[in-house]
Amino acid sequence: MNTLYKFDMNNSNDEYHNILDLPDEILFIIFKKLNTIDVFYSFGDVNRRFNRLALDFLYIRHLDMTTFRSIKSEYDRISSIDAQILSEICVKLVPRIHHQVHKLTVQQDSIQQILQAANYPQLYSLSLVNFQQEILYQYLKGIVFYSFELTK
Amino acid sequence: MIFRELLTKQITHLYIDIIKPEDYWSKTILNIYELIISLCKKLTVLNFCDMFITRKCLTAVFFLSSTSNICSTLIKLKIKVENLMDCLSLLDGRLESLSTLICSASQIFEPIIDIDEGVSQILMIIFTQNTVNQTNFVFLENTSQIEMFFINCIY
Repeated sequence: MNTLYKFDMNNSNDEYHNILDLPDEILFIIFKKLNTIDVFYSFGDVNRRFNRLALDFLYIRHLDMTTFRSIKSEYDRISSIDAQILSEICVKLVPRIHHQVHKLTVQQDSIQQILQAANYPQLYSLSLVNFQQEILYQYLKGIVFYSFELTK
Repeated sequence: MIFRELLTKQITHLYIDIIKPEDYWSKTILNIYELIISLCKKLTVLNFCDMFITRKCLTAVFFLSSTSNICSTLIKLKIKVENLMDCLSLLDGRLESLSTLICSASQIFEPIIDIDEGVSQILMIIFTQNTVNQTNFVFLENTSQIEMFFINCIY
């Protein structure tokens, strides 16, 4: 890994540190700048410590499944989460954190997998972002979800 | 977790963002609104299509069926509507628990109907108008709630 920080400019040993030398508190501050997907995908499998830190950090109340691209897409465009990342999140992450999630933000392309991955017993706040009217209407009528359930 | 079940039994706060349909006025949007307020039995806070300032997705609530089941638990509603008639039709008394209503209306014209006894809880109507003819109305239940002024001019 590249050397990222030099903490002590006056250190006569000219010793450099890399990101792994940062304390947990500083890493948490960095994580806070990122969303769920980025934290999980960027730090989840780096090493054991980062895996623990990422999951500790993701001891979160708000599971936000929007991406940076979807923020731009509020100008009436649709963007999607990579299918493989979404699948990994549903299999590895959601079952471990779903019981503590109070708020959930999902897009049209992720809602079905995210909701079917767990029960979310404490969920009370739901944000549906970037939906097409016909799709949302079908979901509300139960058509899409029920037919999917029946085929499982 | 099935979506409808979640909405019916669990969700108290719901925020909806819909991509603007091609037509200026969409019956489907109204249907979605109607389904939500009848389906979500525990709903207290609803933001309907007013999450992002750039979205122009209007709900013609004036045309909502008078026989629709309406969620009586709703306390706060934020919604983007077409005109003042839509705002007033939200105050027909069916939203029994409503204390805060924030409407972004795209047009203003004189209301034909009077505000009657059914909306007597409304003490203040505040509106601002800006260059793009976008108006926000704030309805407050009583003077003690006046600390919550939402006058969001859209430029």
